[in-house]
Amino acid sequence: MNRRALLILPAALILLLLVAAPYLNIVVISARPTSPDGAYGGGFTTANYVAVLTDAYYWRQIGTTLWLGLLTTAGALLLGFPVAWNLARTPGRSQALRQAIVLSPLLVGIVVRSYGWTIILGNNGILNRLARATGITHSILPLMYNRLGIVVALIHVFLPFMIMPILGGLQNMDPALEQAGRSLGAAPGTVFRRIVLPLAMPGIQSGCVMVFVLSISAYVTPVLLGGMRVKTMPMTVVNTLIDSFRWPLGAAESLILSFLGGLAVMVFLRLTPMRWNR
Amino acid sequence: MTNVVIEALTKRFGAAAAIDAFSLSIAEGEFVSLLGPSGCGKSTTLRLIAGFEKADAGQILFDGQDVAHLAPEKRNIGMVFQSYALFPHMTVAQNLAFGLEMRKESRTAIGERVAKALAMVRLDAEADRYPRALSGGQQQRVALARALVIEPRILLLDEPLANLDAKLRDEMREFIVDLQRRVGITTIYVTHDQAEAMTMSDRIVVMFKGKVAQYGAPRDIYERPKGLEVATFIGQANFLKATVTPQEGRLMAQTVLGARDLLNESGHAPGAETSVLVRPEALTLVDPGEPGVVPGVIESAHYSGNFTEYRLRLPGGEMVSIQVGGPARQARGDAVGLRLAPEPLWSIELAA
Ligand SMILES: Nc1ncnc2c1ncn2[C@@H]1O[C@H](COP(=O)(O)OP(=O)(O)O)[C@@H](O)[C@H]1O
Ligand SMILES: [Mg+2]
Repeated sequence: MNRRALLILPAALILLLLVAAPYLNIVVISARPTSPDGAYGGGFTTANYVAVLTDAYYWRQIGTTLWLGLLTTAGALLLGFPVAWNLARTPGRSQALRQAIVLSPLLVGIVVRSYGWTIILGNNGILNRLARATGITHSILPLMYNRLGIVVALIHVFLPFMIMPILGGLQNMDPALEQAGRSLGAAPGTVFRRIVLPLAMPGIQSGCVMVFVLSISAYVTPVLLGGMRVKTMPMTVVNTLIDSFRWPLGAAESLILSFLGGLAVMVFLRLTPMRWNR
Repeated sequence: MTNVVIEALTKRFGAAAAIDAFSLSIAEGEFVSLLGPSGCGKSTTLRLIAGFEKADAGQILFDGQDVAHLAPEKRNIGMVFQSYALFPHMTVAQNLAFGLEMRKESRTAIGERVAKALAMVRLDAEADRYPRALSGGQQQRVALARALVIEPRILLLDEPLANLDAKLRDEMREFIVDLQRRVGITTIYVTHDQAEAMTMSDRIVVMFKGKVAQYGAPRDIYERPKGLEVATFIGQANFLKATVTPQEGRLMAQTVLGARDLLNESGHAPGAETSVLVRPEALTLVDPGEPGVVPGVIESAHYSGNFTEYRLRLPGGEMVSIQVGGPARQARGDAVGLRLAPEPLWSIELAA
């Protein structure tokens, strides 16, 4: 074995031990029958998959989950791109500072950040009180316990994962490219559309994939902001595993969500190809 | 074809002036180089002309028309960048077509003009390749073709050869000059390499610290540099003490190597002390025994392949450098003879 291969050995072992093995285990469990005496029984069955795939209740939830993921991704992109752009254009030291500010929310746990949003968006929260105090409305604005609240909080929680890869891409871009575009007769908007945006695509892709995958598997934020009134797949998986203690069914549920999420990512990557980048 | 006039252009970054009361006039079809050390403001000048920077004072005129209010995309300029700045997500042909698309040319016209431009830079075969698949020299030519295919009024080049290796650089130098002559476009070429400026330009602007030190033909710059800074920046320079002596109604410069006509007579009174510029190639190394030669002693010899550079001590202690073709035949301490070419001399005041 050569030395370079040796270098990746520790990481490979950890991945194998902590990711591949549990994942395989889940796959196996998802094909086991439910057992009253333990986590699962002996033998194999497709019953768990059939149960999920033939139940409209599940499909609605999968739809909600993927839809919220899509909205979160789109929102994070719309908010994150300008920030990345601004950062890429900030010189040296102040860029490092601003970058630190962008990343700083990651230092606070997801629970705290999501809880923070309930304080802002709640029926008796800051925004609602403000709206009443200023007479904008006298009824309660439905900012939480619905999809809106979940998406707002998810966008905030995962925004750094959108900004960082886009920033990386923009930083790698030769500033002379934009000047070349201008000198060739393109107005700033055209330069952005024809040059900056296509070149930022690899970063946009990674950012979108990351935020999408993170938000369809998010648990804490949807629970806190949705107040169980909006149901997403991760909540159901947790229910099945912990409350009903039906491991095989829970495993099948989570694998189906993973599979459909992966499929969505593939479609997205297929729709945004970059031939020049290979 | 466009003439360019720059009047008292000033650009400040904070308190420091990157360009300071810079004036210049470029004729139609002329090839002018901006030559100066790194940081003297060459790129800033180019960016001002292209419209990427706003001047704090002064004017830029294309054919007598002030362009201050024109955005870069409205100036109809072709620009070649040091990094080439080829669009990596477009093929060679798409890179060339970009400027024509911005001009709303028809598809067929674009196709024809792109093909013609590619033929001009001998890259027909690479039309559908992406820039990263090309060599440095090829990328360079794509950049040139992309700038020229839009038939701009002015061509601006910012150190376009700096990233090429020496052999390719010489080739591209010739290629660019040849292309410029054929197209006949007014060209401003930025470089810190004096050999490039010398061989390529009709006229050279020597710049120091944002100011024009001298503007003239390569020969003028080399043979009649205005001041010590220009003389030493361009080529090798020896300075000899000289006494101004009148002879037959003219002024001569009397040096340790003999008396020669003084080129710049004005400003010199007979009997005044000055110094004159002696380029290494005006000096010949000869046998010390020959009649009429000045004796010298070799202080050092540096072999550079096609020539050897000697440092010589002259009677009276002055030092000169001289380049002799071929390997070193003299060694430190050798006594040699020195002869100065009969050409007139150019005086330069050393204590500015
Ligand atoms: N955007 C800028 N901000 C601040 N200073 C700058 C900027 N651009 C250039 N300068 C300064 O102006 C001077 C001239 O720069 P430049 O025109 O790039 O020089 P050159 O191309 O001759 O090497 C330098 O001292 C440089 O530091
Ligand atoms: Mg420069």
